Amino acid sequence: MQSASDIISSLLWFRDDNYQDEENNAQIIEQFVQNVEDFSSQYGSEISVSYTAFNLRGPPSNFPDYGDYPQAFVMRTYGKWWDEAPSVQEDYMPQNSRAIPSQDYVEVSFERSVYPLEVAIFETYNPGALVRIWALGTGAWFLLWEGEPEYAGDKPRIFSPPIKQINFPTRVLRLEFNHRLLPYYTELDAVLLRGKEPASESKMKNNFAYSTLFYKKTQPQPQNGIIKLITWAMVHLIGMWWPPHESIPAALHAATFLSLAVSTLYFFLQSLLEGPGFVPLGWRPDNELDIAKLQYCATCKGYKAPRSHHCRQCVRTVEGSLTKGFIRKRALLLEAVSLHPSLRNDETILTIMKYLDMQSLSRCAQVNRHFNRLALDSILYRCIDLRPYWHCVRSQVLGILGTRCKFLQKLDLSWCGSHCMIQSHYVTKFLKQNCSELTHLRMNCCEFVDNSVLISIVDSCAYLQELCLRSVIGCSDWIYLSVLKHLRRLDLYRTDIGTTAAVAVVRANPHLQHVNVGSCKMISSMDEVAIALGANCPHLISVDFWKSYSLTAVGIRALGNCRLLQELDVGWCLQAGSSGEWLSSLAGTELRKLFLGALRGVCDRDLRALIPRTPKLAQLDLLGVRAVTPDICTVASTFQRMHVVACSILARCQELRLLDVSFCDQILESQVNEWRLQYPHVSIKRSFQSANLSAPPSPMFLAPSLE
Amino acid sequence: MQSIFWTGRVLSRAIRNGLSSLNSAAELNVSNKKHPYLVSVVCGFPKDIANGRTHKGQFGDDAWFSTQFSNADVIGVADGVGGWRAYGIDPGEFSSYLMRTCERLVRMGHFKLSEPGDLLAKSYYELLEHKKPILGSSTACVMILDRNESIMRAANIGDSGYMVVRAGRIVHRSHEQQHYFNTPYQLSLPPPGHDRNVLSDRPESADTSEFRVECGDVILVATDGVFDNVPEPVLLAEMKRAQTVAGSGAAGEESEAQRLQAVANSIAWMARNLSFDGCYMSPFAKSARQNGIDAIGGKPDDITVLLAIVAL
Repeated sequence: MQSASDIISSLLWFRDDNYQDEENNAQIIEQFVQNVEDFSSQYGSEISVSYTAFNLRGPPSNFPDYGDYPQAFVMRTYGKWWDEAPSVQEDYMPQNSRAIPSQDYVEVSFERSVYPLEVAIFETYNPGALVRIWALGTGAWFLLWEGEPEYAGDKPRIFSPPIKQINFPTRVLRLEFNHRLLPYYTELDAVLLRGKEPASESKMKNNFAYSTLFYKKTQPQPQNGIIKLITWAMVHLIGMWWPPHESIPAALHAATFLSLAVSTLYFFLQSLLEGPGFVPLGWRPDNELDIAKLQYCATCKGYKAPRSHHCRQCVRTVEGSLTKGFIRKRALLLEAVSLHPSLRNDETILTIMKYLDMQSLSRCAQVNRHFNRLALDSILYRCIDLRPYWHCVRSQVLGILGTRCKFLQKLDLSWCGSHCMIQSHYVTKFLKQNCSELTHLRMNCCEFVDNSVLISIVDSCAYLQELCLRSVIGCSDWIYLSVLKHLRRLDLYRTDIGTTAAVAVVRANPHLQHVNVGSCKMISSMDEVAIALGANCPHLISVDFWKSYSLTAVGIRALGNCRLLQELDVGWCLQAGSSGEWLSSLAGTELRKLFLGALRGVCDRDLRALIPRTPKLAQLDLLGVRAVTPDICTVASTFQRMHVVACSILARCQELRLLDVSFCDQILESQVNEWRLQYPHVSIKRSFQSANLSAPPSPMFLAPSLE
Repeated sequence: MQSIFWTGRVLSRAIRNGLSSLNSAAELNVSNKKHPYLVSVVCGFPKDIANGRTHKGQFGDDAWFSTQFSNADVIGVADGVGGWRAYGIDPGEFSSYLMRTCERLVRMGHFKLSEPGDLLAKSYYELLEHKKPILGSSTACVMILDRNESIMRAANIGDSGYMVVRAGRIVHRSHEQQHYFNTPYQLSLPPPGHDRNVLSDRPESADTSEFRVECGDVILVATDGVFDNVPEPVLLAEMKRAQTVAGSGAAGEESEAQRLQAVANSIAWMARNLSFDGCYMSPFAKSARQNGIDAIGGKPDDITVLLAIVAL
C-alpha cells in the first residue's frame, strides 16, 4: 500500500513542481550562424575572407544595402553559363535527379540546439536561389522546406519560408541552392535561426532520482510497451492484494493471468515475425458471388484470398500483410502485364525500367519475385547517381548495391557521407568488388575520401576516364593518381594536391581533355602544371586555373600548344594579370570561353591581338579589368574609328552570349545600357555596389569602445 | 513514517540544489577577475574641410579604426598618400579600405594576438581580393592590447606613429620610417604596369615593438599631421591632463571618456591651428631645415588623433 501510494504521490509532486513550469518557460531564441561547417563552392580564395563562405557567420554586415560586397557569401557559379560551356559535366542518371535539382550547398551550425520555428536568410544580391533547408537530427537529415528557385528582383530581402515542425532540437542546418534563373551571382549575408529551446538541463538535475520516470513519460511508447506495462502493473498489484502464496485460488488466479499475458506476447511476436501462413489448398470463399472478384491459382487449384499471392519457392499461396499502397501499385502493374501480352517479355520490362530512378526501382523489386529479379538486374545498374539521396545514403546502401552492380561504369557519390554516414572501408570494399570496369567516378564534397579510398580507386579502376574529387580534403597521397593512364577529365577544385603530384598526373595522362585545378592552394608552382599540360596533352579542351596565384605568363603561353583548347579560366591569377601580352599566344586555339576576371593588367591592345582570331568566342569575363576601354567592346560611329571595327568584341564575335564588364571603371553604365539595346542576344553583366565606403555607416558599425 | 520520508526527500533536494549553485558560483568568480582594457576616443580634421570627407572612419585622406575581439583591443590609423590625386586616383580609398579590412579581420577573429604586423599584412593582401580595383598607397600604424597579459604590441609602417605617456613621462615613442625627406615607407597597390615607378614597401618591413602597459597609461596614435605640427612637450602636457586614477567605477567611466575626448579634441584643434600658422617653427620645419630645405610654418595636412587610456 505504502509503496503504491508513494509512486503515485511522487508522480503528482513531480508534475506540479516542474512539468508545467517548463511548458511555459520554453524560451524562443534567435541566433546567427556560429560556424560554417561545409560548403560546395565559394567565389573567394581559400586564404581570404572576401566573398567566402565564412562571411555567413554572425549578424549581417551589409543588409539592407544591395550590391556586390566582399562581406557576403558568394558561390562559384551562377545562371546557366557553366552548363553551356565546353566543360559541362553530364548527369550520370538523368532520370534520377529531383524535380528541383540543387547545385550548391552550405552547412552551418549554431551555438545552441533549438526546435526550429523560423529560418531566415538575408540576401543582399540577386535573391532567389534557396531551394531546400535541411536540419540535422541524431544521424539523420530532416527536410524542413523545399521550394522552386526564382529570380526575386533587384532588391535585398529576408527570405523566410514556412518550415515543418520537427520533434527534435537541432543546431546544424544545410541550405541547398539552385541559381539557374539568376542573372548574376547571388550573395548571402547571414542566416538567422529562431527556435524554442528544449527543457533546460538544470531543472532535470534536481530530480535525478525520478528522471527515469520523467523520460518514460515523454518518449513515444512502442506497441509492446503496453503489454509490458499492464503485465508489470498486474503482477505488482496481485502481489500486494491477493498474493499467490497465501491460498490456492490466489495461485490459480495468478497463474491464469500470467498464462494469458505470456500467450498474448507470444502471438503478437509470432504475427510480427512469421506472417499469416498459407491459404488452404483448393480454398473457395463462402459466398459464391465473391468468386468474380478473386483470382484463381492453378497450382494450388484454389482461389487466392485477398492480399495473398503464390510463392514459387514454397509452392503455396501465401497470405500477405501488404499495405494498401502496395496493393494498388502491384495491381496496376499486374494489370499492365496481363493486358499487354507483349509486355510479358523480360526485355521490354527492362527497357521500361531503364527510365526509372533508384527509388522506383527499389519499389519495383518489392512487387513480386519476377519483378524482383528484373529490378535487380545488373544491366540497370550501370550508371548510378546517389547524389539526390545524399541525406539518407549510409554505408549499408553500398553493401546492398554491391550485389547488383556487376557492370558498373559510372558512379556518382557526390555529397554523400556527411557526418560519418558512410565509412571509408565500405567504400574501399565496394570499389574493390564492383568497380573494375568503372570509367566515370564522382565523389565531390565527400568526407569519407581518404588515402585508402584513393588507393583503392587507383588500384581497382584502371580504365577510369573521369575522376571528380572536388572539395576533398582528406587525402595527402595524391601522387597515386599518376597510376591512372586513361583519364580524360580531372576535376580537383579546392583540393590540396601539390605541384609534384599534379605534374605527375598530367604527364601520365596524355588524353586529358578537361582539367580543373581551381583554388588548389597547395600547388606552389602552377606554371609547371601549365607547361606540362601544354607539352603532354594535345587534346586539351578546357582548363580552369581559378585563383591560382602562382600562375604567370610563362605558364599560360605554354598552353598555346593546345590547339583544341576551347575554354580557359584564369580568373584572379594576379601574377599573370600584371600584363596581358600572353593573350596573343592563345590565338591559335579555338577559344569559346575566356575568363579574365581581375587580371588588371590586360588592356585593349592585348585583346586586339586575340579577338580577331577567335571568332567563336561565346563567353568573355572582363570583371575588374581596369584598363579596358569602351573602344574594345564596340565601335563608335565615327569614321576615324573604322580601324577598330576589325577588332571590337561585340561587333566581331557573332557568337558572343556573355560579356561581364563589372568594375571596369572606364566603361560607363550608360554605355553598357546602350550596348544592351544594340546587341540584345548578348548578356552584358555589370555588377555594382550601391553604397560605397563613404556612405553613412550601417547600424552594425560600432562606435569607439567606451566600456 | 511517511512524513519522515517526505522530509528526507525535501531536505536532500535542498542540499543538491545548494551544491549545484555553489559550483556555478565558483565558476563565475573565476571569470570575474578584472583585466585592463582600452577606452579610446578619436578626433580629427581633414585638410580641406569644405571638400573633405567627414564620414565615420575617415578624416580627409586619413582613416582610423577601433574595435575589439574577445580579449584584445585593436586600434589603428592610416594616412593616404596624397600624390595619387594627380593620377586620378582617390588617395583616401586605399587607407579607408585598409582600415575597414583590419577591423573586419579583427571582428572575425582572423588575426594573431601577438602579431599586429601580421594583421597589417593580411589586411593588405585582402585588398587584392576585392573585385573593385583598389589603387593608392598609405602609411599605417596598428596597436593591439593583449588584455590577459597587459601587453601592448604595435606595428608601424611610415610616418604615422604612437606615443605612450605614464606618470607624466613619455615611456614609448614610435620612429618615423622614411626613404627620404617627406617620403615615408608606404603600403601601396600601384596600377598594373607601373610597379617600377611606384614606391611600394612590403608589409613585412613594418616596425614592430611590444611593451607592458599599466593602468592609467595614455596612448596617442596619430598621423603625421599631428606629429609634424605639435611639438612633443606640448603633446606631453596635454596627455598628462588625460591621466586619471583608473577603476573609479561606472560613473567614473563616463567622465573619464569625456575627459579623454576633451583632450583629444584639444590636441586636434592645436594641430590644425598650428598647421596653418605661417611663421611658426614646427617640427616639420625643423626637420626640413636639417635636410637642407628652407621651410617655415606648419604643414597643412589631414589630422587624426586616436587617444586611448588603459583602464581596469
